Parts: sequence; structure tokens; C-alpha cells
Amino acid sequence: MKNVFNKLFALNLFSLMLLLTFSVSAQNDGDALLGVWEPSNGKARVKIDKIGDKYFGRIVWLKEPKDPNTGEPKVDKNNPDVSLRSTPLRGYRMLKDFVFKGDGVWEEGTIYDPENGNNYSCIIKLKDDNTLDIRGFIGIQTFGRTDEWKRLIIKKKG
Amino acid sequence: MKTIQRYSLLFLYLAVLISCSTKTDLKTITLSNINFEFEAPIYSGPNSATAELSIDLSKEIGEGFEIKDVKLKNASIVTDSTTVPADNLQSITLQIGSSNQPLISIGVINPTIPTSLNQQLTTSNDKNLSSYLLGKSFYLVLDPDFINDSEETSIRLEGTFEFEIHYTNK
Repeated sequence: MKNVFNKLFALNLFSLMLLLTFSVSAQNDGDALLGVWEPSNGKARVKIDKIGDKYFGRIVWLKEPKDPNTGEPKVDKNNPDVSLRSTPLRGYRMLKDFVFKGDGVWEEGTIYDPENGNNYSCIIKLKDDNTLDIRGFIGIQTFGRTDEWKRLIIKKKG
Repeated sequence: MKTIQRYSLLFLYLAVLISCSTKTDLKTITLSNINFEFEAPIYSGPNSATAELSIDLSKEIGEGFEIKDVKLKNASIVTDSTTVPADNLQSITLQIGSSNQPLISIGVINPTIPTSLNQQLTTSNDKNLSSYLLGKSFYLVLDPDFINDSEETSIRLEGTFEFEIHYTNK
């Protein structure tokens, strides 16, 4: 009886250690951000990849890919640089220059809002393997808005 | 009235003197045969490839000069007709970045010309790229939008980029 109890205890302890290891490693792994994510409004999907040591997010799918006024694929019509207003939104890098700071946090990046052509400072936090908090702000983090993004292909634990 | 006229003439004279004393020179640097490789399988839609580059500006324009600004004057992308027919492209976007500078867009063509193997991008006129070229290295990111999948054949696009450098004597 005592042997069974000890074995069960050892197994639970081992499982707990495994769980902690995977949780900690995801939090300390900058590449945990890589993948395809969907904002809460479901209007787009963003693929996050890496160039050098920085992380970038490109729009790879749009729920409404065509401009209702023109019938043509949506472009960056609000870009303050007139010469770049024909840039297609599908493929647009709306998340740029994020640097992994540890503890599931990526900072020093910006998020672009094609609705108004504005760039905002941004911080990304990994809530769990399949959930991000994306906070865009002006100046200090207090003046901003947080959106929850979900990973499109769910990562299985273990 | 005579006093105002006198001061106006003096101001005009000083303005001409100052503008003549800070002469700005122009140098054009062309980077050719810059390859962007897209490894198969390639899926239709936006794809991305990067080329890391560096320019020794002191070698190009000599010592003792101050760079005023750098602009991308021309950017063209040539496709290889055997691997990517011109009509397999929808658009191409060009960006520049470096380890200590933000990634910014500097050129686009949308839509591409389906009958041409040479795509001339519209370049941004208001971006000063001196911080990028003055650094140790910088990278160009090419984002073409392919119409069809290419499951087995890798694709290579080749770029030519012309930078205009305005500089003055220190």
C-alpha cells in the first residue's frame, strides 16, 4: 500500500515538474510567438515570423478581402505616404520590430491600424501557448487598448 | 520705408550667401543582382524573402562628408520566366530594416504588369534612409504575392536598387 502511494506521489511530482518545465520554457522562448493568430474581431489572421532577432506579423487572411466601394482587393488607402497607398492589405506587416524580453513579453514594437493609417506603440504578452494579449498604446501603456488574440492551430501541451 | 528696404536687401544678401556656402552634392549608388530566394513549397498569397546588405559610404563618397539624406530612387524586380511567369505575380512590396532601425516600407507595385518580366516599383519619396545605410548592415525584405502554388520549384527574384545620397562637406 505504501509502495503504491509512493509511486503515485512520484508520478504526480514528475508530471508537475514536466508541466512547470513546459510552461516556463514557453514563457522564456521568444519563438513561442511564431504562428498564425486571430484577433478577437475575427476580421483577419496574422502570421508572426522572425527576421533576425525581431518578430513581425503579416496579415495573411482577411474576412472581407475586397473594398466594398471598388470591388478590388483592399489596399492601404489611409497610409500617410501617398506613394505607398496601393500596398495590398493582405500581406501587410501590421506588427513590426518586436523584441523578446523574457517572461512571455515582447516589446519595442508597433502595431499599424489600416483603418486610420496610424502606428501605435505595442506590447505583446503570452497568456498561454494559444493566447496573446496585444496592447496598443500612445505614449505610456495606460493610454491604450488590449485585444486578445487566439492561435489558429492549437498547440497541444506535453 | 528706406530702412525696411535696406534691411530686406541685407536679409536677401545673407540668404544667398548662406545657401551658396552649404553646397549639397549628389551621389547615386546602385545595388544590382540582389537575389531573393523563395524555397518550395510556395503557396499562393503573400510570401517573404530577405537580403542582407551593407554599403561602405566612406568608400563611395570619401571622407570628410556629412550625409544629409538618402532616398531610394528606383527599385526594379526581375522575374525568371522559367520558374515564375510574370502573370503569376499580383503585387510586390519592398521594405528596409536593420538591427537598430524599424522596418519601413519603401516601395510597392500593385498590380504587377502581367506581360513584363521587369517590375518597376513606386518608391517612397519622403523616407530618409541614411540611418540604414550608415549602419553596419541593413536588410531588404521583398514581399511578393503569388497567384499560384509552386510545390516543387523554388523561385528566385532579382532586384536592382538605386539610392540617391545627398551630402555636404563637413
